[in-house]
Amino acid sequence: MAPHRARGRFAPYVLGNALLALAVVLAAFAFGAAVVREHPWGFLAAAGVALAAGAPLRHWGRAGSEPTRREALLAVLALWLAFPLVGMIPYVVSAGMSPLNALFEAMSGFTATGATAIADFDAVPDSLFLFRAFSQWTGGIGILVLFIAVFPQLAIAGRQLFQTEMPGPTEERLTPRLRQTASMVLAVYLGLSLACGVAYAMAGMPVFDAVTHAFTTVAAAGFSPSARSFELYDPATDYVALVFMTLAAINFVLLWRAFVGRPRDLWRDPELRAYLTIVLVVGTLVTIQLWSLYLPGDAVRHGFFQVVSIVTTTGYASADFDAWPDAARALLVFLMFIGGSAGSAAGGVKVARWLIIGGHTAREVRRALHPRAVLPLTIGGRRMSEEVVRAVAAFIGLYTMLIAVSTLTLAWLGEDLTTAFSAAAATVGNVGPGLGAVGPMSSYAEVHPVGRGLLIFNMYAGRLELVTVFVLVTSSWWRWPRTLGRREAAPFGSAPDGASQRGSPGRSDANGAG
Amino acid sequence: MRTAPAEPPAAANAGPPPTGTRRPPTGRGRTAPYVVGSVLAAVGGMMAAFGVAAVALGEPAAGFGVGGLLGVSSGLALRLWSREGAPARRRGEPSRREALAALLTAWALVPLLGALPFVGAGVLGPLDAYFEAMSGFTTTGATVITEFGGVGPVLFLWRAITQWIGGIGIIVLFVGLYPQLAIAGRQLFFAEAPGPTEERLTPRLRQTATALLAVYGGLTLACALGYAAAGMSVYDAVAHAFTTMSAGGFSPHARSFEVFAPAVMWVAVAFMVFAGANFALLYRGLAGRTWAVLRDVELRTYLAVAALVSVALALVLAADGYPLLDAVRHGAFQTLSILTTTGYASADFGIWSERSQLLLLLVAFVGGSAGSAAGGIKVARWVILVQHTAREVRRTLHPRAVLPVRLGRQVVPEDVLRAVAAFATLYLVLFALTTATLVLLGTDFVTAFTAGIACLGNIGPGLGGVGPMASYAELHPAGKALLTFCMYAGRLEVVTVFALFTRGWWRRAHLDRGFD
Repeated sequence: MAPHRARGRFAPYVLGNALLALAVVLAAFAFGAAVVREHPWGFLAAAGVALAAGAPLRHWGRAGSEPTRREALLAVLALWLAFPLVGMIPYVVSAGMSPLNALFEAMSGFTATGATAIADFDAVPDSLFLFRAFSQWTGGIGILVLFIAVFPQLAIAGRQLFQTEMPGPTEERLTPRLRQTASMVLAVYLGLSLACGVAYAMAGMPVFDAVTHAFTTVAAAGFSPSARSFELYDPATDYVALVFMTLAAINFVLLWRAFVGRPRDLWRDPELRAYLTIVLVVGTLVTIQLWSLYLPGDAVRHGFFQVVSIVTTTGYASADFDAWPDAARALLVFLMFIGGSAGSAAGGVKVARWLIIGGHTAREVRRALHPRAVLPLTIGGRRMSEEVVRAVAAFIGLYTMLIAVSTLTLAWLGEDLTTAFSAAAATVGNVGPGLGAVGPMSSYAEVHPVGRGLLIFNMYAGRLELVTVFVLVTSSWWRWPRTLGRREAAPFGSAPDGASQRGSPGRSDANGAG
Repeated sequence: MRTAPAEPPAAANAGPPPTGTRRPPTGRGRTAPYVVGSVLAAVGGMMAAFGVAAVALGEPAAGFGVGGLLGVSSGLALRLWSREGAPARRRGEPSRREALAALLTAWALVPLLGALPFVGAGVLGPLDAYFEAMSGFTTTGATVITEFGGVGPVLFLWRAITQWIGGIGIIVLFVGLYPQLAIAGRQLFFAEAPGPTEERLTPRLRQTATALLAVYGGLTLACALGYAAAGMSVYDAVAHAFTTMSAGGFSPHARSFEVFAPAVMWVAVAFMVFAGANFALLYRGLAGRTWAVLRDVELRTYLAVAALVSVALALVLAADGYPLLDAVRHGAFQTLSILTTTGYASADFGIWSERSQLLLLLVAFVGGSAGSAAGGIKVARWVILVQHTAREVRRTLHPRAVLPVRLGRQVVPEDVLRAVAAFATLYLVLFALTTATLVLLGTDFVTAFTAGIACLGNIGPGLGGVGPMASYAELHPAGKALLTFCMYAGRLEVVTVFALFTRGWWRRAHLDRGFD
């Protein structure tokens, strides 16, 4: 029996709470900045705004019981908009960045993208660099919770897309599910971050750098206080990064299971296997391209580092890969489309989706011969419903279209095609650096303002899996709940995955022929 | 893979057998050799005729002669072998595999024959000649010829006629084979097909094929007359009519349409519009049902895209410095040329501004209408894909909503949706792999990118190193081979080609039972 719904107060409640928490964090940063004799005003101002906005929202909002689908979506959309809007203030005040650039940087932070609009790295105080890294770290947590607890319930990619069954009873209602998920995620996340920071320090990074990079590695995000990214540090750090970037791009639920003693699920994960295959193949290809540029050891290191960095959508650079041969650059741009595993902090299309659409395509090829064959799709031993296949196909379509439109717009505004295309792919995929004018050693600051605005949108939409954002443009969003009747009242946890009671005309489910 | 339980041969083919007749056994499946043999013989015969003309005009005829001989002899031999007592047509319906095999073999073998005149005349090496011939029969229009002066008029005419034949082949495919194969659903090609959906080669379908071929031939004639009236020489008019109606794009002139008067270009615009439209619709339009034609969603979208992009391109060109009338002319011509995947060039768009090239790149990914001679993803698929995507977005909010995807008034069944999604994925992946491979072989990114889409979409010219006034000759041989495959796959709607790689294709090949 569906639990009683509280109307329309869920989003403000969540948002209010989050903003209050952010205010506390910002206050802490202000304090820290003052202690090291840097300006605390940016952080204070931001804390003030967060407080001013968060308190009334929290007061007005109500936790209630199950939120509707619409409310949940609203909360998600609002969170990832509010945080960058507040988080941009320190950049404006303490680093003198323009509002647009500051918003870009803040969005790039909370969406764990790693594209930077900072032109002069020397003008940025250390406390702000730490905040920048921390924003990515928080973004990573948010993304993980989103993926594991929220999206499957919203059928934003179907429950089967992510192997997200947690140990213990399957909790269907959102709030307890959120709590369960958050604690699990935090445990793994904190553990990884700690290990990563220690490893970086042992590999030769100064403490400050080790901390900031640990923050941005585990979030598969990519910000660095160094203008030359990983080029600055010892080769040993590249290998540490390689390992932790890979871990960050694995389904966190599987990592958790491995932690608590069931590593078998991890070894057998089809996404991980696909990921490793891709890294091996493309890494080798790129290394070959670099053979004449570097010593053999360095060529291997750079090749594999960069491939892993791009595929996991982290975005670090061990060298200026924009100066590499065309073939290597092209390969890297194509890698931006792949993404990490579902249920990880990585962005992109996600390996799981590629596996599903690949399986579906192979199935359709077989159908050319046997139109009536019953061909269920299984990935990693789990049966994929037609529901999921449709959603994945639509997602990839939306993804491609967004990148195409972005590329055309950016090129229309004057960017060269390489910059436009790589910028589009790097932002929608939350990778970070692109090629050309937005290469790893450059900055997005020079992009046409309208273009930058578009790219901010891309980062936002890409992180929220596109569909969440585009739902806003469908007319049904704007109708008041009362007039929608029964359809709108679908409670949050009731995504009918795989259940084929649609009854749409001409629809065939598992059977091939219509 | 688990097939539906108890899959007797009769059930796998579509529809109940005609009342009153017992369905004969399929036998060893000899339709493919029969069809392929017929095609080879016909092409061989044509080559022989060209050989005679070549001799008469003093051009190298060896290639034509050998081709004619090989074509006719192998064709007849195949036909003989396939008959075995009764013509294949009366032996029951050819299985899917048979039909697919015929398709795939024909489009692979015929260009082999068609390549011989190029080799015989010493114009191209074997690989390049196969590329050129494939570019002909798939109505692509990409050329590896660098020295246009070294090619005689007979050979150019042969090149043009390969594209015209390619166009015929496509029509026959759509009518005869695709419905049976249910590739992307028959609804895709006959949006409002009157009568019940049938899947066999019934006399009605054969009549339809004849009717469509008549439309095709008639339009070609009208096109030639139009060109001649606008000022082209008779030879040019014929050669271009062949490649306009097939949306192919070959021209005996190295500078393509740049050499012709504005009036000629407008004739081309008009007939390219026809060439990119669904032939079944054209037939219905000519048969008097104009209203139904103008209500077709795909046609409207197709014309709207053409109009909008033409205007946009004209504006950009005017801003770039073209006089207004010229800008309009070039805008319309080039948009339609790329949209319909013909590939003519009214000017060297390889040196146009980036914005204009962007617009052309945009329409390059759209393609013509389904059921036309044009290539590309096809407007109908885009209409379906956009709706499908929008529907899934809406389902985020309303997971139980009943939201059918429509093409006009007709609901598109889910299996067609699935097929279209698979097609789009395969297309995208093949395109990405081609670009990546070409880049790895040393081509610059822009050339690789546009060569990929130009061949996969059967357009012809790209940008950069494979621009309209350039040639594919400079590419790495492996790259040319890959692009030849792309032209082939793109023309055959990609999915069918990959059926060869499934296990199901090769199983039970030795059994007497037809493979259903």
